[in-house]
Amino acid sequence: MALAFGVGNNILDVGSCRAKGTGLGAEGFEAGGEPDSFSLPNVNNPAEFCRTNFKCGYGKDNEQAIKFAKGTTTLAFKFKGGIIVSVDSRSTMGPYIASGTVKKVIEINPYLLGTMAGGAADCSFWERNLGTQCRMYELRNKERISVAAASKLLANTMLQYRGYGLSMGTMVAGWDKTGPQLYYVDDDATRLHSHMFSVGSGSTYAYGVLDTYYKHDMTDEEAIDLGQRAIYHATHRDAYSGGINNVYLVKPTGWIKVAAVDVMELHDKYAAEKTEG
Amino acid sequence: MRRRRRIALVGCCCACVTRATLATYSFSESLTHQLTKLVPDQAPLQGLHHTAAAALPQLSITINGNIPSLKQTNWKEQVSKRADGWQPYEDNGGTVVAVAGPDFVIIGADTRLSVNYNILSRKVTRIHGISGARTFIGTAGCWSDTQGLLKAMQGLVGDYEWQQQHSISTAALARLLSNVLYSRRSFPFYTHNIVAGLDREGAGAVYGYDPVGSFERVKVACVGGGRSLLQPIMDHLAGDQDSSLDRRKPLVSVSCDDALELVKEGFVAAAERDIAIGDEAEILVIDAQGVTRHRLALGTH
Repeated sequence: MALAFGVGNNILDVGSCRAKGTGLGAEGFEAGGEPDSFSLPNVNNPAEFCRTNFKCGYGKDNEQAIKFAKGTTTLAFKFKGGIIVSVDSRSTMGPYIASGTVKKVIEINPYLLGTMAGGAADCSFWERNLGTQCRMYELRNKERISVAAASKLLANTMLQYRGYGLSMGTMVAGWDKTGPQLYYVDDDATRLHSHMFSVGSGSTYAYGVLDTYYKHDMTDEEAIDLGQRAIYHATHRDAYSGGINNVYLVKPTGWIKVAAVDVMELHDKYAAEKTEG
Repeated sequence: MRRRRRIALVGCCCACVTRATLATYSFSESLTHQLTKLVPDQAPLQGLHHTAAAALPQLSITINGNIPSLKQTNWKEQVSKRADGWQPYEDNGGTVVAVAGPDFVIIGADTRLSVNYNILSRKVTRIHGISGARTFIGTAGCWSDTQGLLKAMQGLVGDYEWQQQHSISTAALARLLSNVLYSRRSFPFYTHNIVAGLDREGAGAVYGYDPVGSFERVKVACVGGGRSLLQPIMDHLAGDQDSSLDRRKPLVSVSCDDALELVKEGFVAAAERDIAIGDEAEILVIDAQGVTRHRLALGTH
């Protein structure tokens, strides 16, 4: 279906410059041109143009016309009872708080969770795309996809768009037949496997708390409390994090959402503990 | 490679010849003339004129009876050599506000179109109905990108409704807009959007977007230049954020009339403090009975 814009012999013709995506990249619709491709600016080096003019980083897009929604602290860790995923819910565009209620844990499917850190649109789009790929895997192979494979699919997608200025730092957590698994996947296609990660502008604060109090042998309640405390401390010190702390627990049967508490309430709770203790 | 050539009389209007003597402006005027000749049924490309004049180095091209091929000039090379790079975006202002209630939704926007300190129009409409259904997209930001985006959306929604044989739901439209915006992730539409309509159960649904398609269903949304002025007022309407575990819909609990009053007062207040907001605010109230338009005069200063 030809559209009036972006087609023709024209200075603003973006139709002459295309990036071929993966088969499921642009979801087959034709806004801006062909299906399965993303339009690019009509310059000699589109990757460099995107990197320099559509920066997504903290403070880097303050002077730009286009500011992206981002900002965060997310964390996840494995313990004997499963995996805890704990996130904040603030989204900033430049110095403006665009939202205090963003859902940063993306429910890919009932047993796989992805977190959102970096560019909000990048994370939500590519993780939804990952959900599509996971479902196709299930239909073709008649079994659930492993967390390792799911995270690899995401990493490969990021590899294809390397250098274009995408910003995504996500953790893929789930319980498959090898047990609870946690992977970190980055916008430059870094893929790491470990028992604990924290991602985002407030991650350093969260790591301080996590590293001090983490033990593999915790009850579910202790693990949830640790996840909450770490996010609370990050939101307290990082301007780009705040809002509501959402906590999920991944069990063999899938994930469950266990807590959604405003971080100001956590502040009051921990302050009360200090005066009592 | 670029030699100065004189513009021949044959095939040119007199205006072009007289202007040809002014070296600096000759190219852009003749380019506009040529482009309007090539695409005669389009409206004069005022936007392109400004872009062309700004974007290209001074060149003269000959006519000599032939329409010069635009492919002769290598645009990519020109753009890559410019010191300040290619600046395709323009901020045309605008502020859009929307409120979701239990059985209504309100969406309002100002009608002033501006660029830097100039007002281009006092009567633009930023709220666009998509197909026949009562769902609206409100858009602030670059006006040319707004038009391109809406053209794409109308085409896709038309396809959807033809295939599915029913009108598109608000949630589906919201997801579609997000995907359309993300399809331009490497060359974004400079638009800030809000989708407002009734959901399948008849409750109000408002979705706020960033320029590349990140979206979220919210109680109140403000986008555009005046959002820092209006969002705090609207947050007061929304009350505390929901932090409960159950997945309730984000809806304000005030009546439609109270919400409408606050939106109107918000626009009046914002117009006093932001030069880009003014002239008129167009506010739509959508509920089960239909769509009511309200117009609020904001002063032309």
